[in-house]
Amino acid sequence: MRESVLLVVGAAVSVVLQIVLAPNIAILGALPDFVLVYVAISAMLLKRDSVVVMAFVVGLLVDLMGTSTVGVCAGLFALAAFASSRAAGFFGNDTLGATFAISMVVSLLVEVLYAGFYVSAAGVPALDALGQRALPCALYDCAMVLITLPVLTHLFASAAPSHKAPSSSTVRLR
Amino acid sequence: MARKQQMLNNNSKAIGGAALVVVLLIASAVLSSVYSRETTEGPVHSVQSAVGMVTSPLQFVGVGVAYAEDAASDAIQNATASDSSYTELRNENAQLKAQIAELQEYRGEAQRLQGLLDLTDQYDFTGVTGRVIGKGSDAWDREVTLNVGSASGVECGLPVIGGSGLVGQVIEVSPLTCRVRLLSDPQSGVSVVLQSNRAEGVVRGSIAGLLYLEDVDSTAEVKVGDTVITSGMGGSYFRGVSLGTVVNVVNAAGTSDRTIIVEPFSEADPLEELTVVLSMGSEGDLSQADSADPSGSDSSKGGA
Repeated sequence: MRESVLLVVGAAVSVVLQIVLAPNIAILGALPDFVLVYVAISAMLLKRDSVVVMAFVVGLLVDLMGTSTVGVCAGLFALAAFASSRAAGFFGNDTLGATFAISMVVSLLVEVLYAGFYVSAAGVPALDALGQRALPCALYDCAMVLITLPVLTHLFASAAPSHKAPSSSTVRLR
Repeated sequence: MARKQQMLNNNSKAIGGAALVVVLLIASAVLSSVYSRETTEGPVHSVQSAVGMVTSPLQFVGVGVAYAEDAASDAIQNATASDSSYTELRNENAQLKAQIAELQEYRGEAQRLQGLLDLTDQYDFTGVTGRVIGKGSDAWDREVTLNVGSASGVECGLPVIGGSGLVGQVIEVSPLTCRVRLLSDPQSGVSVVLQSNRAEGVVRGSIAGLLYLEDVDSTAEVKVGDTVITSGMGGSYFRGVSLGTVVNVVNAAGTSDRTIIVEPFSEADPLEELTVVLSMGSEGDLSQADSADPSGSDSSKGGA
């Protein structure tokens, strides 16, 4: 229950950060995507299907707050959550390096897919979209992962349900 | 046996997760399709406008983040001072500085508003002036949000000008706010003419934020310093509004292709107050160049 509440609160915080903070920390036009970073990390840490639904909903919210085509971010974020969750389950070791590598690949994947959509919709050169936006934004996302990952790891670990040790010292062995 | 059962559970869970993603992807594709096919008055667009209006106060908070940083640094400096009288003097000094900054802000605002009024006189248009209360929160679109909307007469497609010239176009309107796509946005395009020789072209934005003048006749002479104004062709912008000047012309070796870069007049403006042009009574700058064009007396609205 606490995990679910934390998941929703975290999503709301990431959306607020995206609106309030992201435009003010742009570097050469590249902005970090706090929502994508949150979705990728929480999917890796929790490995639950509910994170995929949360990613879709929060992506839909991002779409509705902007002026681009509604549904694109929703689909991409759901895909990112699913990919992160499955990749974390596959590699399984939950080390910082693996988590960072997965989030880096996922953010690059999402930015490149969005660039592809943008190229087809706006007719801008693909090389410009990839070189001047997708790649710098993915790198910025990775930097945000480094900051966000320890915080979210601590928060989700503290919210995880604790399993009590058996009160009896008798353990039945099969 | 137990291991087999666990494997079955894991498999069914994986299939369930994949099915969920497929369903969500189909839902997003349907939404995208509906959004692309409907008009700007359609239900999804309407929800988007409403959500944009609801979240505009959050965007306004973002504008104040820079000021909050300054205030925080002042507070930290005060907190670390050991001498009480020294702190008192610092407070007084800070208050005086704040007052000066406030007065300078008022003076700047007055000058900017005066600039807008001068422009109004120059072009003889009617418009509604609003304040920028937010910037786009993604890296792909160059947009700002103004605190004027359909309640003030703003409609989609109307041009927006700053103190020195054209800034962009309204692309989304809610009752209290509107979103403006800036000229530098890659999806922006404006039909223009060069004031010196009436050569026509289209100014387009780019991902890098530069403005490119394209589709100019290869025989037309384009010089650095030429003024670019809207031509009114196409139906999106009023004609005769100043846009910028040519700052660079690069000719490709061996071909007639050339890259022409335009610097917008409004780029130097802080973009704190912008005016949405509701209607235009005369041709503004173009009247001078229009002396040989008898059809140039009407107040047409056009663009790329």
